[in-house]
Amino acid sequence: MKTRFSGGSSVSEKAQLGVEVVRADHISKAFDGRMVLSDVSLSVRKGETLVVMGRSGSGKTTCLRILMGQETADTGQVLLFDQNIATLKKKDLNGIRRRFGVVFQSGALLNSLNVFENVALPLRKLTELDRAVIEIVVKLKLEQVGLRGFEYLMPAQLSGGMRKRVGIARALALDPEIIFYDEPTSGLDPVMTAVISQLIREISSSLGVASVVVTHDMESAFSVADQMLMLYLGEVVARGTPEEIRGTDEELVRQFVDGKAEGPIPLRQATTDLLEDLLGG
Amino acid sequence: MKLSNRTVSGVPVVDIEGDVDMYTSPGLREQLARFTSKQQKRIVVNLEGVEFMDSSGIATLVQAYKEAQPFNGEVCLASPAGNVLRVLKLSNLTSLFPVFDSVDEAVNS
Repeated sequence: MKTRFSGGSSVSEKAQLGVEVVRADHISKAFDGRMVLSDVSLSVRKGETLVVMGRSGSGKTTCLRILMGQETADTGQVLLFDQNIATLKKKDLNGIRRRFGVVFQSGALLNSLNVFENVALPLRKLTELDRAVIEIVVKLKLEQVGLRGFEYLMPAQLSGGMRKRVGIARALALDPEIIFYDEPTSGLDPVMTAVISQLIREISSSLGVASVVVTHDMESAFSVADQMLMLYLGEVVARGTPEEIRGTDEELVRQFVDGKAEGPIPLRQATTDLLEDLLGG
Repeated sequence: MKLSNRTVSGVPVVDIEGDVDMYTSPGLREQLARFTSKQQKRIVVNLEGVEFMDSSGIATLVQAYKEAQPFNGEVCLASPAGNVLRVLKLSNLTSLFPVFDSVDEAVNS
């Protein structure tokens, strides 16, 4: 079942120019004895976008949380900017955290703060910049995501797409070198999905930001990726450029990419027999 | 980042050496505010020694521009490196700041 495409010559020219800023070597993680991530390795360079895809429960969110230092891998190591995040002291880890931004699936905006204050939050908390300078930085960030002029709206007054864009503006506030996106297009209509995908591409190409995008939205995935990695039951089952993934005849990957119900990916994931389960306990 | 001041033909020049980022731009802000509060008609910011400038650095220059507007003052940029100029262009802010190849040109324009 396992197919591994070689990165080889397919890494984009842009990516070759960048310095490696994210690296995971053979990371594995189990919860309550159940393996959710097994022997995953990946690498992302400055200006490059890696899409980690897979169906729900494939381990992609756990992978993202380990890369961000929110979970610790049981085995293997994660290097951000060449530093092993598991062995860093808290102060040094906080220093690393300032160098990456996170776009949460929900936007994770504070509902009691308006758009301006949400974007200004990391600048107020983590820098000594004065009020006037923060105001300008926030306007520059909102301009980048196309929301300048909406500073004084409250989160409840925003559409789903606007909330995501405010989340991106906030992630950009500290000029991160890496952005981790957790399902950035989930729940959006096709037009807004295209808008967010374009924004991710622009941030990567114009600002040279390295991006890790976790998604099961195939259209967005192919649109933003320089590299793709597919997880299935916690294991890497495919990796390569969008062209390589699109061109594969590996059934498991094809079923996922084409969104088909029929194929090697089973509908049911239970590993025990139904009767045994019903009668056993 | 290191900051120093000098006066060339009566024009204040701020020389910057190093990165202008979230940590260092408050120092630049303070320096520029000192000149704008004295209503200096022209301030030259020498960017020759700057390899990296982030949004806070850009915002600091914009704030100095805003403070100079009431007395028709200007903030001139001298010798910005390609990547600094690129950041300014990305933010569509090049029109705010006269850009010169050298401090002498900025002072004597």
